[in-house]
Amino acid sequence: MAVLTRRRNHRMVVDYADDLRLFGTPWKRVGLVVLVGLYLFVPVLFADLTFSWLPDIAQTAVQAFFNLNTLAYVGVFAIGAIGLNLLTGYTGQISLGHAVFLGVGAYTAAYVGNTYSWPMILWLPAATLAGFLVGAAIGPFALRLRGLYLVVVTLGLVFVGDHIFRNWESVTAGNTGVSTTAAEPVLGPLDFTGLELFGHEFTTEQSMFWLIWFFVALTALLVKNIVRTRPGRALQAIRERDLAAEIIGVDLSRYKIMAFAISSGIASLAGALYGALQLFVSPVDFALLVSIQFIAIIIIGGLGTVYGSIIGALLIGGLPRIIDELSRSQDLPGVGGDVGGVDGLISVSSLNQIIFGLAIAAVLLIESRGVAALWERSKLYFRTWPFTQ
Amino acid sequence: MNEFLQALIDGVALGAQYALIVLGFVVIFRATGIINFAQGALVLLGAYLTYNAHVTWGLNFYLSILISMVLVAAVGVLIQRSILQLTFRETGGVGAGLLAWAIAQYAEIESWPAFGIGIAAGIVAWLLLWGIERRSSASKYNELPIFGAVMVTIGLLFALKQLVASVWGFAELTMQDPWVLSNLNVGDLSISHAKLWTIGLAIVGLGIFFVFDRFTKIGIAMRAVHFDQEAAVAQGIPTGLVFGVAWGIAGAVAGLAGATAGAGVAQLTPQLDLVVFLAFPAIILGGFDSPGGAVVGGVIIGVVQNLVKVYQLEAWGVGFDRVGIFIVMILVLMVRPYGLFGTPEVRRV
Amino acid sequence: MKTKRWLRLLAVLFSFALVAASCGDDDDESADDGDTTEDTGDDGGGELEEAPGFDGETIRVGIISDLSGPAAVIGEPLTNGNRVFFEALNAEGGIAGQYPVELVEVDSTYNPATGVQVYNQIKEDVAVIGQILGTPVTNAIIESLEQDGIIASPASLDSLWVREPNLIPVGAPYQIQMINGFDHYFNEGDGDVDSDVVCALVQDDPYGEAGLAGLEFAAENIGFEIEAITRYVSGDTDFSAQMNELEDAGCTVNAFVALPSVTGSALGAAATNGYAPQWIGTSPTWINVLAQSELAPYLEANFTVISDAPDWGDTSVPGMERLIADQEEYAPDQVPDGYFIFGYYEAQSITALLEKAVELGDLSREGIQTALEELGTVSYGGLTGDYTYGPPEERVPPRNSNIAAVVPDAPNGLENQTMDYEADYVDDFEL
Repeated sequence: MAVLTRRRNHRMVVDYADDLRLFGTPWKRVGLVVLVGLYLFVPVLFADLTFSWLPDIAQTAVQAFFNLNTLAYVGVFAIGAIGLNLLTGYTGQISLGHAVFLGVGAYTAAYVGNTYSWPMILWLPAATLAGFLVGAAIGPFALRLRGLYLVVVTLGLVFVGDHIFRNWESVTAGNTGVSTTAAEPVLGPLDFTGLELFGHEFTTEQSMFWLIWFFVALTALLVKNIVRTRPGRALQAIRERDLAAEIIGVDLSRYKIMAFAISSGIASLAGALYGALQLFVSPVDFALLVSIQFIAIIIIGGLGTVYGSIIGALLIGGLPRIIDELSRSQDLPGVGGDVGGVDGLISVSSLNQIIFGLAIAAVLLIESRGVAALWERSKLYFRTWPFTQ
Repeated sequence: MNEFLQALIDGVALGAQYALIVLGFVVIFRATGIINFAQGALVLLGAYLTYNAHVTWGLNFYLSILISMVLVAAVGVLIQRSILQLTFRETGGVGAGLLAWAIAQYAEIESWPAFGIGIAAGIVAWLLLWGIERRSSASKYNELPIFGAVMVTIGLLFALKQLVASVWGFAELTMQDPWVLSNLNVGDLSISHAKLWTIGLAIVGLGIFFVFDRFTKIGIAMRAVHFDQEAAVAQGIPTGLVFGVAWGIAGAVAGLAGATAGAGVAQLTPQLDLVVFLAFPAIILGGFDSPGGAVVGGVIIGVVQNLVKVYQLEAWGVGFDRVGIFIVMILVLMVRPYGLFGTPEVRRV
Repeated sequence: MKTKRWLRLLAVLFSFALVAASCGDDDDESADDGDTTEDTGDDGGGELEEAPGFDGETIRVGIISDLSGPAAVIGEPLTNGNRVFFEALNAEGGIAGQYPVELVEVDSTYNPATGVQVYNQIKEDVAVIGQILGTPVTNAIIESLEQDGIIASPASLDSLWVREPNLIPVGAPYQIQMINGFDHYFNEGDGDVDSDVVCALVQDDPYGEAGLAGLEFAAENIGFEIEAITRYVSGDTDFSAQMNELEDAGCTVNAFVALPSVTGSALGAAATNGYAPQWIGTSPTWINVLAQSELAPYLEANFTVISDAPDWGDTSVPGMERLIADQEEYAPDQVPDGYFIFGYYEAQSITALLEKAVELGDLSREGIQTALEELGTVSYGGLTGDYTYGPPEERVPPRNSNIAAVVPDAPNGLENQTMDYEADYVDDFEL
């Protein structure tokens, strides 16, 4: 039997355990090792690589993208997007209110940090829990509303959240915003504002990269585990057809609220880490635009995939930085140039947003299921070659 | 009492503005089933085109509004045809054309030859993509799911808004409308001409739409498509045309809404599109697929917002009026999940 | 068990990686150090050691402006002012006659979150930040400035900046503007403490509160009551409700603390209603386009703007003479604009700071911090009041203001009626 199992093609699934495998194929295991390697080495290697062998433009682009600061923000985006994907991609509940939960996390962290000087081992879970609870409280609204009506109610949530952030001054410091430095990213002996390991000092950027991407991996694993087991199948059943799901015995209200709560909890985790990166948050940080960005990330990356959320975050988070750097260093004709539109046709940030907008449209026009589906499609092409149609 | 009446009238004027914006959403939703987030950018474009016709070209203001309505309608149709109708080759053609035009602009080629280069590049790209499609026997239509289409409109919102800002700049512009700084006094009440005209133009615009909707063939076709798209196709109704017309109408009302929203001293800025997000409660209140509901919902939300603004307690915080309308919306939805006039979805097991 | 073998492999790799990572870092750092010392050794021309944003020849100065947001109408001329000053300076050799300045411009779109992110993008690359536009954006970046030890010049006149160790502010704060504005109105202008009803229309944010604090201080000292305070959130476009409230309260003179985009709609609503009190506005309430609008007659009659700046083209002010000469040479397209003047003298403060640092022989982060502490008084040739820098608690900002009326034919639509006005008790205001 043992011999048989070893020889069996990894794609052949004979039992439940096989079906559940996270890293079922040798390639996936290699991939995992590569990813872990990247996780550990990127901050060290890319801090000093200049890529001088590349042509000028590519060099600037690569440097902008592999800037540790860029990647840290990308990580925060990825965490939030994984959470939103659980709700939108797997459960089919579209939410434009994701930014609010980020805000809940960031403000909670800032509040417990400022008021009680809690250490990270406490403020991070506190922020996550706060988001979880608020999400659970919002969840019931989704029971009665479907589709676009839910979209607009969650849009309303952004306005309500913004108003609360601006007016609950004892906690959020109102319009001014609040410093988040009191919620220090320090975990026992590990101080992520400047890690010291094996007698070497690392920069804030390097340390924060390790911290944030650790949580990316953690949330990815968490969500992957949810979706490949019973609750995940229930969620996907709700997405496909909620009535049918209810009839086969899925407790709709329980699972919908659960999806909302977990997704919001993850968003708040992202929000707390965002605060640790940003050092200062104000209501503007959690505006509608942020929600739209998250929706864009999961749609471009691929709805209903965990790795799609990360790819989407890399694209949406990395692309603007590349354009920024390119237009600053390369003197693109007509872009920025002389500020104030004196000479330039278009400002850098305008160009950025136009490209952002068109990129969303273009990706969806090429493959409406996002980059993840493109990847799956090309994999299928090679797997079935030469019988590919 | 006077204070109340004043607030009420100002609220109706705001509501008329909302009604125009909401109608644009509803027309597209009813025909195609998507929320068009790019509507805000169309409103913005409408405002700037009116400005351009009136101030830059020196045309009569009302004629400028009309020109702007026609142009924005054309843009709406173009978006629908080239991007959302979604044939690979048409999209690629338009994209290549725009790219060539932009490059020609950078190269400082004069605008008409540049335009020609753009069109030529578009046609070449169209032919090329057409050939590729033929050879690769790829599916002719890449079906865009509704959610994807909504996302595309969000993408367009970003792109269009910044394009408008790049053409006309970020600084405040003055529309130089004939209504500015004048008002009508009735007893203690004072209503600005701009508000009266907004209400008047909204009534005319909505009136024309309802006549069109009830009594013309294409209007009836639009309603047929809304009820059952497949049955409509089976009856020989050209859905492509219906979609295009829906976008055209949405563009036209956006032009009108933009002109009224941008009127006043130094009011015209690229931030103008944000007003459409405040119109969302009105859409919900009226029901996504009911043009009549759009008007009622718009006016109710406008009045509620203004009354809240005048009578709210200080403790509720500045700007509570904007939140208030969303709270009203959520309350309505808890009672009637499809709005006041929306069609409940019949769900069969 | 077998299926778990790859997991063990992973664990081994993981520990290898950790060790390697730390070694790698070691190599990098020592290499780095070597490079730096070598470079400075080679570079005979420069006397100063290289530092972040300084390669031995050029000093890079960051500009965090709003070039495509709601305050772009301010950000554009402001940045142009920065640029013209430095271009003129570079033509003479640069800082201390030998280090030319290069600007690194980024766009915050007046969004605090974006502001921090663009700051993070350029911080490794610049010696100082020569402009941060907007109170909210500055507020958001202060924490990062402190963490990185970078000095920045805020392009807003908030009094909070005076005591911030990492900021080098210029000009009299908004509070001072309001105090001087109201004192002038009641003592030299048409005001009458007994018959005037004082109210305020302010933006609901720190900027609005700053103006309001000044008004309250003036009220205490002059002896009037503030009858009503109305606020608005940025993004409001219909001000009829606020105007009705002010009119119903019988207000005859109103403090106005707002962004320029609001002036047209708010005062437009008042003009439409035929409500014509005296408006006293802070400097950012003014933009040139208002002078050419239909609202101009109303503003001429009812609007006073308090600022630091002298009239555009008033060559009796020495700083202005140089400004006009530089502008004609380096930015002939620039229209007369108060924010251009601000940008121009803001660049002077940065120049003074950098020259001090060069004099002290250290352009590193710490060196520039020391330079700010030892900078002393900087004079702006009358473009704004002299500012005494030093450790935060010892700084003395200017406390004089210019009172301007709207004159549509003037170069930027404003003409100063009174220069360098200073209320008797303004020194008592705690900043």
